[in-house]
Amino acid sequence: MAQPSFAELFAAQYPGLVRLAGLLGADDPEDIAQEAFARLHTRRLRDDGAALAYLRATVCNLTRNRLRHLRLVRLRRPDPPEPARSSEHDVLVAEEHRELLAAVDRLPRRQRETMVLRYWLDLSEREIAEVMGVSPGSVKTHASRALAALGKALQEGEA
Amino acid sequence: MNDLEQRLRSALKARASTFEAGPDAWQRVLDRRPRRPRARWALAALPVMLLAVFVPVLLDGGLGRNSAADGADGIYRRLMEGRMPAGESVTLDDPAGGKLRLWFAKGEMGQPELCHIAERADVEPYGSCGGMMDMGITSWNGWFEGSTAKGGASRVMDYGVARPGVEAVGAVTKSGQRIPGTLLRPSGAPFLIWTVTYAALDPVSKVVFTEPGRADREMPRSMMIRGQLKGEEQAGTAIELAAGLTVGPYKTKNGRSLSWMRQGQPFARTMLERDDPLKDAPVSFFLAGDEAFGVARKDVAKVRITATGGGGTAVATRPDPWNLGLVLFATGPQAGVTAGYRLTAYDATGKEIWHKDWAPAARREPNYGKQIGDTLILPRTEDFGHGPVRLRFVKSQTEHMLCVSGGVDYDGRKAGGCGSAIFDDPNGFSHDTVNTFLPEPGTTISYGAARPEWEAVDAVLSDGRRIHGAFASAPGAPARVWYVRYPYGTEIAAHVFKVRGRQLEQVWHTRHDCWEATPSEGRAHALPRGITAALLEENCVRFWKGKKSLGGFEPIPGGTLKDLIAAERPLEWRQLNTDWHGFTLPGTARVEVALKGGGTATADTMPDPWGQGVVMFAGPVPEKAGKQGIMWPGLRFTGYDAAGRVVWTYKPHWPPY
Repeated sequence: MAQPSFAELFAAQYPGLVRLAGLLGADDPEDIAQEAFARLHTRRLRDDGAALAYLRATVCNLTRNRLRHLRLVRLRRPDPPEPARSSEHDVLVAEEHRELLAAVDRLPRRQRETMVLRYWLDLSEREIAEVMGVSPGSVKTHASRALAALGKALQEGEA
Repeated sequence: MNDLEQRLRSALKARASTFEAGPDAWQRVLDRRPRRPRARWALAALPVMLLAVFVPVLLDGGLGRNSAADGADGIYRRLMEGRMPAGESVTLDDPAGGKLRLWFAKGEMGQPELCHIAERADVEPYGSCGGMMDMGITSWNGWFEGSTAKGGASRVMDYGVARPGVEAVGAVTKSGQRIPGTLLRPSGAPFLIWTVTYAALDPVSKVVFTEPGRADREMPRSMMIRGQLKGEEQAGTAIELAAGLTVGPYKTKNGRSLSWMRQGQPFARTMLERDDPLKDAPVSFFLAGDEAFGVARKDVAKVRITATGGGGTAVATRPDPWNLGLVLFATGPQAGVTAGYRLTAYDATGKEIWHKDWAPAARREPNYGKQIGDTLILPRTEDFGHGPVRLRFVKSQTEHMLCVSGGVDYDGRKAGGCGSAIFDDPNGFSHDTVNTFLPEPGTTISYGAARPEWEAVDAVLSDGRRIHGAFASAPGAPARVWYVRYPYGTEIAAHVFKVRGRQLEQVWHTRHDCWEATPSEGRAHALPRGITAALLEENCVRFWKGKKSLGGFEPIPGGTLKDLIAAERPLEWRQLNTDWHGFTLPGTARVEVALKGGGTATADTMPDPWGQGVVMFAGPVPEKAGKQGIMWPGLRFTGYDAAGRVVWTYKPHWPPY
């Protein structure tokens, strides 16, 4: 094999990273995913596994920073418009998921990240810890609390 | 999994499906790289300026642009002013009629370029030359350069450049049909030219390159086309305005737009609804290179572009065929306008109704942050094009960056830009290159920010030959800079650093051959737990469990696995689910991993069948490792000999790479 695979890695992983950023709450998931790849380009990692781990961690960090920025903006500018989402978004997400997803959106950041990485990407605790930059023990704690919070939210919603 | 978890999984899956990736994403990533190659037809198109116009009289020719006497030979002569041909040209049949002539050239700064001239019966000949995008031709087996697509054509030909080793090209169409392509080898040319011809109603979605001994590479066409917008839908047949410039209406989420295209690639866009281009003036136009084009109010009858130094072209406007209530125009190339020009609009009576003067502004360097320390001039770069090469560190809001100025970009212009300067992160590695194409064969310097503990640097070729580099520093800079100089075109497989106090070198592979390796039949070597391993031609030892890849280990090019381990790090290992595998020092009969909180597992070794100077192992992960696995701090590895004596112990740092 004679070619480096940055472009192929992009072709294979970009859509998934856009979705990861979206699920983590990014207002512009494509912007986050593109920036992650642009940063990867300046790095040389050990293999494709390390590259993917790096990309996921970068998407998490960038989304985190972006959300923090948005919060700051909201503090300074009252009544900002909600981040725009395509109309398809509302159509495509089935009604049955709305309540649960709303509860996911209300989770603290780390808990939300844990849920997305575990239940959407199917990562192990070790891999989640690597992406989030925390210990596996913390992952376990966040996951446990998040599930409890989601369960409670659903119960309240159904009450 | 309980009900909540199942619901969560399906809810996230449903939401995830609503986030789409745009077709222009690849280009946008390229554009974000700190060093930006400039597109040939760059939207150097200055953002639109506005003006108005009229008039009945055509000053010199309608929508055509060049003098008819110019002809294809005249265009060739003009294109080759300041350029040298690089090999013979090839002439292809445009499936829509006419001929397409392609050839490689060397630009004024010696940079490789691809040139084309289109000759058709319905328009005057036109052509251009441009540098090949660095990401494309250096990272892939081939790259897209253009298309004969035009409104109304039932057959289309895509064409591009391929590396010399490519032996076949084909394409997959939108309907899934596989069609063969053609490879042309112009005598004396540095690259190959490929073509694929297809029906316009079933367009190409992927181009496939085949090179002996390598997996076929499928390249999505959308990744190679600049300027497509996410969700953009064609809303009418494109028309050709002049000289290969076509324009067509599209629907986007921001309303209708006009997309301006050359060689099948969008390179400028007029947003008709979001921005209302004629809100402030009767003409809205782009200047791209040496020609202006755009839209105007219906009462604009003619547009003239006049170079500040003299000379000009006037063109009649043309009603849009899509009932948008506009007129369209394209001036065609006009010498001298890049040094300044006046654009004038006339009404049907010939009365000037508006003009706009423009003069080039000094190019502003992007401000990446505050410079830290003095600027470093790289030794022996005085003879570089746009040299010497200067490097400086800047501190942006989030990170240190290393900025370069000097050397030649792929379009012949002065190279410049900034990239991450990583010198305090064991996972990170700064690496970029700067080129000069003259004197031939040209020179490349790879460089980056150096970690404090690095004592020596080598660039390693795939056969193991090494080119020694050096370090340099500037007063007040936060880190040294490493650099290696070698002839342009040399393929560097890795950079290797000698680390102070360490026996093992730190290796950063430039080519990730091992990433894409696939199992070769009959060559796999069986290890315990159903794991197989193979040494691939590309100097890569790769592991699989069934068809699932477990990853690979890459020796230093030209070396063997034994170069990657020593007493200071006696093993390399990987884990997938409940299995771990790797290699360790000869003389080791058994490897044990012990978890920090208790729990161990062992794996017996077996000789490596390839003479790599190591022993291989595979075994179960300790049960207590659970989902945490065995890639975390606090682990202890022990190697035992056949008699059960400890021959080495190892407590890895984190991260282990």
